[in-house]
Amino acid sequence: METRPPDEGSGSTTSPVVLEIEDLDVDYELSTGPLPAVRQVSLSLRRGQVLGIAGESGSGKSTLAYAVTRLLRPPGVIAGGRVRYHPRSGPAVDVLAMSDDQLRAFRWAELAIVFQSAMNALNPVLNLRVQILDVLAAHRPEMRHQDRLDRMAELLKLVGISGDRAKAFPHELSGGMRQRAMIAIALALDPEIIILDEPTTALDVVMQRQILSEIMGLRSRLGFSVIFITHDLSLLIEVADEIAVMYAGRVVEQCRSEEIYKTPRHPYSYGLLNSFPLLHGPRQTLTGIMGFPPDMRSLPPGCPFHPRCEYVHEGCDRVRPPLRVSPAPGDTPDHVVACSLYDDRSVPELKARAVSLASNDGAQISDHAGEEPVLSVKGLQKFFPVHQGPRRSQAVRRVVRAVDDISLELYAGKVTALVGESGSGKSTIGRVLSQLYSATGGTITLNGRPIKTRRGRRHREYVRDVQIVLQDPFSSLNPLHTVGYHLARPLVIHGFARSGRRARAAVEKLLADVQLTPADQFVSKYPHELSGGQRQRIAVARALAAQPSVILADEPVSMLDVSTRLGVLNLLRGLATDRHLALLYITHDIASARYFADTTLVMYGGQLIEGGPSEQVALRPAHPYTQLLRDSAPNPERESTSTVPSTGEPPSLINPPSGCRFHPRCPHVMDICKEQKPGQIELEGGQWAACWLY
Amino acid sequence: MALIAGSDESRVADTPPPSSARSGHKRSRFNALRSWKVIAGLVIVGFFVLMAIVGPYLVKANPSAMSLAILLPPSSAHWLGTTQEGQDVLAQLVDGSRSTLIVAALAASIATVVSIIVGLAGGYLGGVSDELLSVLSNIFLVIPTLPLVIVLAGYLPNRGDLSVTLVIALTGWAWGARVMRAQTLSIRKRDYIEAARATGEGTWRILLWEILPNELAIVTASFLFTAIFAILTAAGLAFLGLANVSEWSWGTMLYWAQNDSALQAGAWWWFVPPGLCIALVGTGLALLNFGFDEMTNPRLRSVRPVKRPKRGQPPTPAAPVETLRAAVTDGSRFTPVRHAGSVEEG
Repeated sequence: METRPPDEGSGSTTSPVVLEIEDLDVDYELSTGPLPAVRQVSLSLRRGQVLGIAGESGSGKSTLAYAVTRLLRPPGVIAGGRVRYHPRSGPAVDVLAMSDDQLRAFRWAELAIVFQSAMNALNPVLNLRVQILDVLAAHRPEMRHQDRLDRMAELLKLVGISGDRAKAFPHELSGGMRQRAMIAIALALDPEIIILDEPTTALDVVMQRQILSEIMGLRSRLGFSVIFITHDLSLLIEVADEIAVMYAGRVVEQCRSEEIYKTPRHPYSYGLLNSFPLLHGPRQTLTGIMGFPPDMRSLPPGCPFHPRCEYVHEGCDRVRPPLRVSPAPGDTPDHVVACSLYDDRSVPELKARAVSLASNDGAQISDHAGEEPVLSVKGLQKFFPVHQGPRRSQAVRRVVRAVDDISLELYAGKVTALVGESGSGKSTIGRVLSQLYSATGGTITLNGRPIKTRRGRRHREYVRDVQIVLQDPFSSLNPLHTVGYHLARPLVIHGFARSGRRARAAVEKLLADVQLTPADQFVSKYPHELSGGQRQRIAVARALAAQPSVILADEPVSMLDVSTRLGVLNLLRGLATDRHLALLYITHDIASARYFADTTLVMYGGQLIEGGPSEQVALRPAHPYTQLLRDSAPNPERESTSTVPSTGEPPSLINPPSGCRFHPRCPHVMDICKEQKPGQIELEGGQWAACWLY
Repeated sequence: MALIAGSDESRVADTPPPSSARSGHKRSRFNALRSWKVIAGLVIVGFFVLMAIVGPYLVKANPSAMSLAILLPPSSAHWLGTTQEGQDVLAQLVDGSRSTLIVAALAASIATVVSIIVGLAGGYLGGVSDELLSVLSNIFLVIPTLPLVIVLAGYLPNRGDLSVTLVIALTGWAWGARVMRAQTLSIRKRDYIEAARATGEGTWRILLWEILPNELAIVTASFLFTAIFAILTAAGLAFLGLANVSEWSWGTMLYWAQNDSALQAGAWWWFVPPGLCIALVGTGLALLNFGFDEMTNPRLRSVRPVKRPKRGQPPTPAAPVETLRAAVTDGSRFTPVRHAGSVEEG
């Protein structure tokens, strides 16, 4: 193998290959036999390039990363294939044949990995300084202590952590800071390759944007290559040079990122691309993907995607198409796709044929004149006491002002979105409104009747009329009870059925209402036998069982696979319209609110800061924070990723900033913002904002 | 609203439900029963339960009947030999198993029920009631058990099995209660409990139908450990003469063996069988506990060594071990990447 010339790190397709994965197979050895997790994956990463791997849970994308770094632990085993690393000088090295000592030298010095959950990856009992010095001490024993300290300071500066935070422990840092610290540790030895495994999934959009632009900035300065693993294809298109889409353990399509955005060839890639509501450009119909992700234990024969494919035809269920160069005329020769649509070298046009997102029609201005709200909330407050200090008696009585003076109204048949980042208090509102928490202050009025106590008949009626769908379908169903039990209970409690057995017909009807058919197949199943999308449908059915007039959906799709999200949103939207339910859609994603909700309210630091018709709020936000949200959302058409819209952290809810709570982060801050809280200023078209700019 | 898709019912129906769903669930249950620990535990405990139930009908000898055949070693007439008073050791052992096992089961049941009530109530209700119940269990936890048992047993008017049972239950519930409380604290914060509350479920229903079934593993463990504790404590009390020594149990057998200097007389057949039985029942219960633990917590299951790839080797299962060994010893093939000067391509 010839010596490669040093490279400038341009990320072009001509730069030399630095990591080569060839026909990689990974199995999980289970007692029932080997479970294929990754099959025949071949990828090559070029120097300075960002290679994106997109896929849903179970697609094998993270397993692939673990296999490449040899961090795979039993029962996972590499069943075949080759992984070769090409150093800057010298011949290639077989990563799979390395001994433990060689691996130790290879990992981190040549290839570093940033894991998804920075809280778990950092040691909670060591401060940052110790953890960074640790890496240096382990790999650079010859380094003098002072040099290590210098290097540490340099690293922290690189990732934007101020030097005085070096002694902080992980729990003292925000999520974004921890992720930055992980990146600093990954960069410690100047590696050639960094694997980012869902690095921003746990973060809010604003923080995600900041971290991404920092990573990309560092890459162009330091010239490392990146393997970027995520489920978010639109994000990937923005940052990656080349993208491989994985489905059921195999690469189904691979090409340059602009090509997959403009002309996706595999129906799955097309479906994925059309599953993300976007914030830019005109509204387009979202198609989503029907059905649910496959069960790796029993993959369908032939093409694993065929049961969900819109373009399924004769033979798809028998022959698994190999990965071939796309015959489409405009495609570059390195655009490969595994689909039998291209068998006869014709190029069908992929069109929106599948599930389209139920949506408001955009132009509509929600006008509630003369209409009575179903649920009306005035000046709602929820404070949580914090105990600090060694003994409670000494504790300063302090509170977290999670929800501070919120007023909102929900109307029958309408969807209201409540958008906010984590810690903004949006979930607390859901829990107070469903009476899981009692309010600290303010009034809640249901159908004109105020709710005062948490006892008695009126409270029972309220609990029946206001139902909640929780975020995580994996924990919101009791693992020991069947689907039938979960759905029969509300029927029995609220007097719609005498006993669980008699509720059977009603339960089957509920299952049909949430499109789980044939219903009798689901009644006796346990939650662990269902996929995430199916479970969330069960949770929706449980909420429906009580025949409520209000449904509070607390991030109902954020834990679901991308391809099943649209289905659940569709379902909720349809139910709201058909049954005249008032729906509160709590989300962190302003783009989905744009498509899904009639009205959007934006929350920041426990307070509402903007509201109005969804399309208007999403596209022409008035409040600087909403503008920041809009600018942070993934946008495949964005040219450069180097713009950092804003810095700063979400506000403390124990000591909220005076005046406008956004003022420490606001680019337009004025003196009055620091002193006085702005009131709601009416703007045109039903939009309002709480900002001194207007 | 204009864009709502007509209906995707058929589409959802198209997707096959996750494979072998129902049968998979059943299979995993049977897999757990195939655990050798559970089976061994069941066999041991089952044997002694059977012995306690039907034993006295099979071994007809009166355990208290004295005879002139004193201190005989095991023979065909007396399978386990005789005591100083010429009583049949086997008859005593079989008769004593009843009292021992009844005390164990009863004491463990009472202690477990108390710990469930205290643990569930404290963990779920929180606040002052939790504080009080915690203080109560902490007090019982720090009381040195054996001295308390001795004092209590000494002052009780009646030294029968029932009082021994109550004394053991009184001292044995606190540990279980603390574990139950901790688990309840964790479970009550889970979403499905919140969902049940939002649905309108009452407190009792949530405690008994949503939380308690999720703690069955802990209840089982607590029951089994308390049973072991009960057997040991009961035997200890009897050995110290604090139980009714005129009734037969494994503990009273040891008491009489000690009293009549069986050890000095070299009459091993007198004290070894009851001691061995106590040890065996304890082992059986412990095995059951380990087995059930593994059943409910797969992370405790031992990894089969065959499947673990050789350290530092390409984990190709197909490669014979010899080849792998050869590769391990052949260190010259690879050198660390940092000094990749004269490496052949891997």
